[in-house]
Amino acid sequence: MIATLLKRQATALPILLIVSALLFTALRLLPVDPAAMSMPPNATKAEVEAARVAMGLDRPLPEQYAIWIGQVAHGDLGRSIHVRRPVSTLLADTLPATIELAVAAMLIAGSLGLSGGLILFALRDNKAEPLAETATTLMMSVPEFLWALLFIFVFGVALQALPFTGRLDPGISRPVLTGFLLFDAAWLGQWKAFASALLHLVLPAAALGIAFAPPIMRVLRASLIDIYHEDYIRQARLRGLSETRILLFHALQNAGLPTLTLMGVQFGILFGGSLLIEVIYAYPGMGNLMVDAVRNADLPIIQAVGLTYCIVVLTINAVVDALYHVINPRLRAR
Amino acid sequence: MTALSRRGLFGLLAATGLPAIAQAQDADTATIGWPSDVAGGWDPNVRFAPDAQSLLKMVFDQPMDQDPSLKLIPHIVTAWKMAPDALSLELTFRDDVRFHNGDKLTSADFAYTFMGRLKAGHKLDIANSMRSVADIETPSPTTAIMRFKTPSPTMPVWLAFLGSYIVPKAYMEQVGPEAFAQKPVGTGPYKLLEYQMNARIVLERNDAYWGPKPKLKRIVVEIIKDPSARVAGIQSGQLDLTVNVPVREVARLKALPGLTGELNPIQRVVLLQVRNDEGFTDRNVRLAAHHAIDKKALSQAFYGGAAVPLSAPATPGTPGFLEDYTFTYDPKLAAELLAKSGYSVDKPAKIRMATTNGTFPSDFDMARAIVAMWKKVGIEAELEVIEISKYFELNRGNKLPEATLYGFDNATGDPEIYAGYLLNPKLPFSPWKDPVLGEKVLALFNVADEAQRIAGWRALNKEAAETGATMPLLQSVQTLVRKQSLNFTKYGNGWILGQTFSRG
Amino acid sequence: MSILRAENLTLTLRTKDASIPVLRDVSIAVAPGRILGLVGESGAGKSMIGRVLSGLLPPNMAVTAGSLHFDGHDLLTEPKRALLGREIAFIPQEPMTALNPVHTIGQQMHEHLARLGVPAGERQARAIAALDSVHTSEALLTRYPHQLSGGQCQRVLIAMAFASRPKLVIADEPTTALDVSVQARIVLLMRELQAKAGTAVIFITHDLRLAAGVCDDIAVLYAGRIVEHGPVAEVFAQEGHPYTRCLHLANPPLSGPPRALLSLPDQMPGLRALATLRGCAFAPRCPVATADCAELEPGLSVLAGAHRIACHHPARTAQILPPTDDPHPIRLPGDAILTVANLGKTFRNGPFWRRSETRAVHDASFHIRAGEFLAIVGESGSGKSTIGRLVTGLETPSAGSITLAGQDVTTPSAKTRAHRIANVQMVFQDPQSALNPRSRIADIVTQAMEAAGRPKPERQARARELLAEMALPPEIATRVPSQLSGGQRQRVNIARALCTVPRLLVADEIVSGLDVSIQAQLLTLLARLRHELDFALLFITHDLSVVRHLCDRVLVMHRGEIVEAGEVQTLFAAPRHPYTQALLASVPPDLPL
Repeated sequence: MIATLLKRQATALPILLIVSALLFTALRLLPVDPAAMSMPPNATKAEVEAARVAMGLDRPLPEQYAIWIGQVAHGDLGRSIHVRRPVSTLLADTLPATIELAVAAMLIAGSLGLSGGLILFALRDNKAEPLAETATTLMMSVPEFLWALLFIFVFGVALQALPFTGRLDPGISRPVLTGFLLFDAAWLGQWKAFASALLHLVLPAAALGIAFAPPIMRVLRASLIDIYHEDYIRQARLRGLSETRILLFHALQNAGLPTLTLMGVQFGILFGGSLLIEVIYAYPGMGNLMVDAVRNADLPIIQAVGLTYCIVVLTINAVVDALYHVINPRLRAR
Repeated sequence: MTALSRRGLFGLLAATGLPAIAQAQDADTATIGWPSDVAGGWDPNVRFAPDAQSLLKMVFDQPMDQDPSLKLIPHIVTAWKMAPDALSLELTFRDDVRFHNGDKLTSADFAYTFMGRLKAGHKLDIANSMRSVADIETPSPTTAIMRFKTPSPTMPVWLAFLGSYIVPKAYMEQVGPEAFAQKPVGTGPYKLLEYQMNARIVLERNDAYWGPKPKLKRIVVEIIKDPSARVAGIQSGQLDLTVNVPVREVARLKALPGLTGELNPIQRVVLLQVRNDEGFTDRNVRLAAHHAIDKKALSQAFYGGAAVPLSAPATPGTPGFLEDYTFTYDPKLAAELLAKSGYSVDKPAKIRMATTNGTFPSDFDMARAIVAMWKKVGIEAELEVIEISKYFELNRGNKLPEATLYGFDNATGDPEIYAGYLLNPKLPFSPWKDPVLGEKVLALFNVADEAQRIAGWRALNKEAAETGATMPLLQSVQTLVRKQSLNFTKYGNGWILGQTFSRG
Repeated sequence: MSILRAENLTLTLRTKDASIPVLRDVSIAVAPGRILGLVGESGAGKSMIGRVLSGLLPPNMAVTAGSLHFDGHDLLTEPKRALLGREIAFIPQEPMTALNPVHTIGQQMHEHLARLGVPAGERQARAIAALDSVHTSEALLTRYPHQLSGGQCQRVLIAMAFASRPKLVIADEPTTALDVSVQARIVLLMRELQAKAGTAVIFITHDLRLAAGVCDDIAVLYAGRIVEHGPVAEVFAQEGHPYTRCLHLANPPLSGPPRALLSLPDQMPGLRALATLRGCAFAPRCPVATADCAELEPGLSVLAGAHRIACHHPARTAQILPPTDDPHPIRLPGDAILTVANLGKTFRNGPFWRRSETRAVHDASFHIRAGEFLAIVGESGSGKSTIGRLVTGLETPSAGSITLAGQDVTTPSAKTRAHRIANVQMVFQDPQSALNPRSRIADIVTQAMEAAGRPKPERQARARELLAEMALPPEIATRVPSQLSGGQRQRVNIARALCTVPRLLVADEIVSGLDVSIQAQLLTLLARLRHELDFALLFITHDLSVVRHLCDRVLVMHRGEIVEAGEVQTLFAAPRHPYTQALLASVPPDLPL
């Protein structure tokens, strides 16, 4: 089965190459001059031109692309023009943070979505259904940055219960291992750091998670309603199984498939959409890096982050695909 | 974050009127919320970044320093002597300064910092300040002689300017500038303990510091780029001090128990940089544009009245400031001037204007207000938003619009660094390329006699305003909110230095 | 002593404006160890009885009269969920979809056994024993439903039903979705288990012949009422209700001399019509109805012994005879219009790095002469449908050749396509999905003409002609398919195919799944059309009795190959190939006449 799954991902590499080419071209066509923006203010035109040549920006586009892709294949993502550090180092610092945030957010979205979906489904044809529907719609109409601000206000300022800047309390030193704070802290046994990191994740992850939960609820409810028309549900009833058991053990797994697809798509969007949350919560992730890079026309960072994003989405697709095969036996190799 | 949502949060925060509960804070630590990071790492000579100075000055020392009233005082350099022809400068250094890694500071480090690095090809912004340096001799470990290509009477000022920090030669040569930027070694009152780019800086007191020891053991700097998050941070008690919050918020926050807010005028000029050609070829149009701006109204609207209107490119208290010269606000005169050239409200003069958005408080809003003021007298301006780095790019290609809203910092207060930069045709700051004024500016760089030099700048400032070559607006203010328990020394240029913090 | 007794059970559907009886006055009794067959056509209400027993009624239906007792429990008042799966078990109609597709058989059996209170340690052993009792291996336990055949799934379901040693098993059309040979085996299996455990069984079906062969007692439903019931032997020994007899005569016989089928006009009244009906519900269609039949509704009265019927004039039933005169002399077939030589079709599945091949058809050769009716019979997977699709050009042959009306049409091209369209048309099985729900009937039947660009008046005239030929009322020309009954829709389907009078008609399972009386209507129609128009028919089906009645020659297919071919009469009388013999043996025998 693993061989099958790997073969299905054979299209991933061509997709990556195409996306990187598009990204590369689009950036070069923009009316920004990274060479000029990297030079100090008193640089002369000649010096700027020299910088352009040094950056390789004077060569034809396909050649630039080939050079870049060649470097990437060797693991060299270039140097940031403004920060003057290798991009791979910057990514190594920030990517784990964003992944941690995205995963935490997805966990929240998933659990909220699943339980909400089950509740919505249980309430169908009930008098309380319109109320629940309105609540879901309300939740869906609030964008994630608004949740973010509300949380800062309620939990950060008013109740002063949770932190809302950065990843750790100031007094605690950062356990350094992989960059995934929770994992590092746990692995090194630094439980104070672990608790602090967890607390710092709560508000940003919740802001993202709550924003992404309603569609999951809706899809789960709709698939459950569909599934309840199926023969085997009726047969299960005729065998005397309780409604609870039918819902949780029979219907849910079948309803999981479209829900899983949705969650996979959402994770990709969420990963990129964490940018705004990172800015608001001063969370040092990839999104924050990208914001600065775009402002400064720091092409190497923009390219590398774009590529990373593409890789993340492809990986998520592969994971969802694999999970599909686990959940739906009909897809497994015959 | 969108302006709308930011206002929403401010509204929420204001609505509750909740006080900042004093957190069980470690009295030996202070946490400040700072709007920007050190640009590109901890190599202090690389970038002229005014906002980062407060951070760099905790870790590094400059050769000269400034006191709170911005007077030049000895620091690492105990004494200096400028030659009468201003072609050389003698410096004497302290003997007891050690870098954080234990190495002793000598004149060799000074020479390396201000010349050796440039010769080694490092790309540094201080190349700007050290343009005229031909050589630095180091006759002894505690003395150095700077030799200049052209007379440089203001070199001591430059040694207290942006980016002029002494770095260790041995360590830098050993690890290279990139590694240095991540793990810096300076001589300052604090050591860098922990650094997460764009997130947090943790500094610990340097107990072996040669100067007065800081009272607080630890300074934590949280990099919070979003102003509403900074406001939330100070209101919730998570921060002890923060800057660059909207003026309205200062008023509100300082009413809360435990907090206090300040609007401190600083050495930053907010002005319009103008061209001498295209839409502004006509002097009448230029002067009309200047007369049409109600600077008091701008100060009231955007700075709570705390920003002082300016008529010349120099701030009060600096040598170049003209106490009894005022460029009047006179919209009627403006209309008359325009009419002389055939323009009116129905047939307006058309120009373009550029502004930044978010580079300094209320920049974009001010630009829009100015456009509205101009419309009333008969000037139609098309507004465009640019990034500050784009400003230089445009200027290089001579593509700047007729007017650009600009904020220029001059921590030293010296007039050379005001008008000498803002109107210098050889430097990238000025879109004014008129040779008449330009030559005068350049000539003043070489005047050796101090009194003569200052008088020259004062005259130039007046002439520039009267010709319409410059349109100064306001002296900027720094907005600051802090816990009442945290005290600090106020500097005229807006430096917030951890080594001056105390709890009381 | 009956285990289940229903007395005067009435089930009502409540709508906004009316209360419509779905079941009226239904009284049945099942004794332990006996099989009761509930026979009725679609809409008669036989499945509803099962639903009442399970308590899973739609929200707008409720029992409004009568009583229902099971083993001392009053099923109308007590909650039934505890009994379901234990004392009362169900065997469903569609075995493949009745099992959760994402759980293994073993998981589902374990779950069922857990519900029955079997301790965890014993469950595996019990599961294996259960599968053994239905003659399947324990290897099935680790498989998923989609990996099993229909027959295997049904066996699993039967095993689960009997696992609790229930007192009553309700089997709702358990064999309808299965192939003929499998059907026979499943039925035998059920009898075996039932006899062992002494279970009472209610066997719901539309197939009178099947019920007669399997059940001990039989009850015939019509329009929500029981019109006849009693022990099978007695019911068929002596003709009781006219409807039962008509059903009987509508079934094409498998042996004996060929006879015409009795086809009843119209169809069974729908629910709404029932609400306003007076008198006997069958009277409008009954060939021997009298005036008073329409006035008064007959009650269930004893005919003899345990045999009861609801009819005013049971003696008249004997007058119902199959139509004897055959007004349609069979023409002699002409020259071959379709010749198929060494035809083969192999399907390739999966992406190119994981290709598997399915050999659907292999080395098939046959011909059809003009005006001839040729049947292809086989079970699912035999390749018969593929042949139909190859002939009509929906698939391209992998090997062999097809010659149609003198032209080689093996390889598709524009020319062959045009030639094909002019000469061959196809009628599909499911009229529901074959007709565009948004088009009007008149447009549907003249689709071919519209494609050829014929003008509208010409098309309308032809539409009227076709509807008349199909014995459809002219007013349906302006209706949409959803407003027609199943039988009418199928006739529209056929009309569409015959619009351009092709020389060859390919019909793929067009009477499967239809009620017997409607099936009889269609078969009679086809026979008449055969006489009036001159077309050949390639009739693909699994139903042997229909083949015997309608067709001249027959091909028997098994696993992609033609195993036997010949004249219908000779083949049915003396089948030579073992597969053919087995196939014929699986079909339930004819009822006594």
